[in-house]
Amino acid sequence: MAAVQKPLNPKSVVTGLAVELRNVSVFYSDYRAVANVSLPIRRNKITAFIGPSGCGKSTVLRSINRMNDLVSGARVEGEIIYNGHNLYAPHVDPVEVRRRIGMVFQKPNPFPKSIFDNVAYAPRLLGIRDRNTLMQIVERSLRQAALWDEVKSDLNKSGLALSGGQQQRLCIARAIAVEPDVILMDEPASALDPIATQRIEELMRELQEHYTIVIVTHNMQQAQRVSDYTAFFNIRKAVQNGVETRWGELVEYGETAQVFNAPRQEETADYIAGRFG
Amino acid sequence: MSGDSKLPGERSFLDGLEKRHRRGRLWKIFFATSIIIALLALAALFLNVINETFGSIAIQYEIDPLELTGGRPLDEVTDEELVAIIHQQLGRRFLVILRDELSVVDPSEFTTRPVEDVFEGQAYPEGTGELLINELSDDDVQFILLNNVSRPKLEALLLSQVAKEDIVQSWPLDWALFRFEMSEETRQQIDDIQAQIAQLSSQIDDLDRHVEDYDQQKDLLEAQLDDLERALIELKNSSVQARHYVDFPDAELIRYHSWLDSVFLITPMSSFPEYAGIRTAILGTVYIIVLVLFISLPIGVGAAIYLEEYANDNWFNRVMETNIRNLAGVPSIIYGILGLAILVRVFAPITSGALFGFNVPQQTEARITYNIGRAIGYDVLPDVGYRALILGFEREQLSTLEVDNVLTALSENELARFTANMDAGQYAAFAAAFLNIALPEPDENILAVPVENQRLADADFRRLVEAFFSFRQPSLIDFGLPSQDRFEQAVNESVTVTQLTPEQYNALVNELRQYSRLTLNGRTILAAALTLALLILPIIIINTQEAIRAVPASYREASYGLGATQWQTIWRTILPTAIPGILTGTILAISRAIGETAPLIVVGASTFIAVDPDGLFAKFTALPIQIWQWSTRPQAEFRNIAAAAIIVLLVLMLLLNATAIILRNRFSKRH
Ligand SMILES: Nc1ncnc2c1ncn2[C@@H]1O[C@H](COP(=O)(O)OP(=O)(O)O)[C@@H](O)[C@H]1O
Ligand SMILES: [Mg+2]
Repeated sequence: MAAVQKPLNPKSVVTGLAVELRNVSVFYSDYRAVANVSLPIRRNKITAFIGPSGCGKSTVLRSINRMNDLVSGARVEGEIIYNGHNLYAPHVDPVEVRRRIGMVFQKPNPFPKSIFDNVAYAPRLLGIRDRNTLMQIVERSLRQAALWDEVKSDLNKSGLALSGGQQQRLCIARAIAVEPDVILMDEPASALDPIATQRIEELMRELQEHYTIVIVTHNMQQAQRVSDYTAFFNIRKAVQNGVETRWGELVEYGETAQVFNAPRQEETADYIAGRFG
Repeated sequence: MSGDSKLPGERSFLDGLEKRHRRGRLWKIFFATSIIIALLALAALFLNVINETFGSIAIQYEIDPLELTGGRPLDEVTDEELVAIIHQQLGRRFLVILRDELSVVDPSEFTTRPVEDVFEGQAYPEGTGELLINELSDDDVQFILLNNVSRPKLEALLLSQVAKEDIVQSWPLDWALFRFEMSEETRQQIDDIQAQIAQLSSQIDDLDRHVEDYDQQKDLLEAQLDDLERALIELKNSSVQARHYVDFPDAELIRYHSWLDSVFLITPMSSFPEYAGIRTAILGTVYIIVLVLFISLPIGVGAAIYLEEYANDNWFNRVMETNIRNLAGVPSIIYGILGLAILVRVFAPITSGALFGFNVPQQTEARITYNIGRAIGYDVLPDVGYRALILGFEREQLSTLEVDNVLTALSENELARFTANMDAGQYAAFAAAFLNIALPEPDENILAVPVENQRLADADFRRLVEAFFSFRQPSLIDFGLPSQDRFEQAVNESVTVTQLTPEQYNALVNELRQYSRLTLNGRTILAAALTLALLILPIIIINTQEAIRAVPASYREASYGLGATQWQTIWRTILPTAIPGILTGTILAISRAIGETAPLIVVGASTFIAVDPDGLFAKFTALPIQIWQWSTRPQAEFRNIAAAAIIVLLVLMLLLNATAIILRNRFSKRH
């Protein structure tokens, strides 16, 4: 099986693309939720997806690491290129895709296990058993996720015993334990208080050095603060044979400063100004 | 409120409000009543069981213990004297006590293994270790009993084995508490009435001689007599003491007697309620439950994982799932019938263990009878067994302990008559069958019966074996096979068997070995466990499915999102999270299996077994079977021990449920 090859060293191609979406449409059974999205995800940059609820931000995000495969009836058309491979080509193993492209969810979802076991979960999946190796991985990941100092005294504590913000950072540590290439974050701070949100934002800036990050957010300020590039999605409606259908489309993509300060589309300007959605 | 509003006006709203509240109150009363009825029913059930488990008894002895001890109370008799009395009274059967109470070897080896083996770990006279039990002096055997058995046990042996204590009547706890004493007045009345009854009866007798003349007068007296008897019965039934006073004046009255005690737990079955225990039933239940767990847990959990995680949502899997749900509601008796048809009958080679060389398939009863009839000169033998049946022992009761009872019930004379009619071969077989039971020595003349055929034809040899064992089984099969030595000793005296060639003899002994393990087809612990496992499988599957469904979807997503394969997600996340639910569901299913009676009866639980089950292929009984069996007996005492057994069963279930809760908490805490 020609698997996804080891990614190029990210530092050597600072300007390269980590992932490229080409004309991607996502279907839930017969329902086309998102249509014709073409979008570059730049390496070691933070790309933000913004747009009104239901416009398909999560759907697009989840299609990047094939999480939509878990939804029965979900289907993707078009190509998502990663390291020269179409992720939806028949020979690609979704398990490998998810190991390269990690994910952090909206609601912190640590396993009901100890902090150590949470972070060691993915390395163990790869067959790493040695306690020392695992310990090193756990420490590095927790440090990168800026959680180490708070939990180092009690790694055997249940992950569920942490505060919401700590839990989300634990989930980030868990995702980066196997050093993925890309990290997808679906509204990672929406369930957190402002202080915890701020820590997550700082953390993303630190992680940017090593990882390519895609973040879905509802919060315009957040998108402006943390992201380098922004993609704005919107809902389209059409009436066909008297039945109204809705789907999401990519309206505008560009550098964050440009999208917010000088949007090319009127729709974008309306949305950013809060005149809409 | 505006005029065209659809809402009710203020007035009708308030009226309606009152009505709504009233309806609510009615429902509340209904719910409260339901729970009260449920509680009352529970309380009644529980009180009834308690009432039967504790209460008064009246004990009567066949031989007055005072007579045995020469008039001294039991406390003043020394241990040595007690043992001597028991020995003197029991004679050869004294050894049976040693075998049943102290021997650590298989009963069939009791007389053939040296004392040091038979009583391993127990005291025996110095220097007798190498000897056989039969070579010990009277003092030696007494020494063994004396030094290995506690004082209370000695007294119990004296009372049960020698004095033959018998519980003539029992009363439940409410009588012991509230209707125990008899008033002086009642006693007077009873005496009075009994005197009058005696007088009237004798008068009636007198009059009877002149029936024609005195018909009228007799009628009158009889009416009076009836009245008196009715009055007596009424008085008799007024208190425990009154009944005791009238019916069993010689019996010892014990006000508070518990049928449930430690002895009850560790004693095997007996057909006499006062000696009966539930050891075999508890062991049977434990064996079955452990097996059921090992069979149904992996399969059930596996099936649930398949349905929840792997199965596509197509019509086949939907039909399967619906059917599993329906199976959980199928009456248990149907599983019993399924178990009988398939596990016991079709899979008999497996469930009986014959495939693995354990139990040789049993012949049908018709064939046995046929063989008995044709067997060479053995017509007398079955008669002994069937005579025992006629005497009131059911076929299944004729196992270990019961053999003693059978022989006791057969009077010495009867025994002598049976044995006198036997030729030496029959006698040897008989003696071997009854092994340790003392029999009258065979008549010298019988042994001298001349032999006509010098060699047995092979066909005759087969029939000899079959006849021998068709007599011994199924009723006596539990008694244990005579050991080879014992058998040789018995058959060496037998004209018939000494004619066997060495090959034939060895073959015979081998047959005996095999037959000694005979059970009733596939009616084994294994078959029962498989049946119950089938019964609770749907429940375990459903519970496990629920537990798996209760695992938050976010755990599943997190695991897949980290690059786990499907199996890794199941093994590392779904199962650990679902395990408290799975365990709780499984234990609850198991406690249902423990209480099941119907399928076990159908599958062929024995209602009477006195030997511990010794493996997958043993015959079995179980607690609910025992309870059911006892509760169908006419004697009141059986209802008492049935109640005691119910308490044991309930405690067992409570323990299981408590385990479920503890396990669940333990696992939940870990997360
Ligand atoms: N599992 C699913 N099955 C069917 N439809 C879905 C599913 N998930 C999302 N959708 C639909 O896809 C559209 C986009 O949803 P989503 O990607 O969650 O939007 P967003 O994240 O931008 O709020 C919505 O109309 C939603 O109803
Ligand atoms: Mg979303």
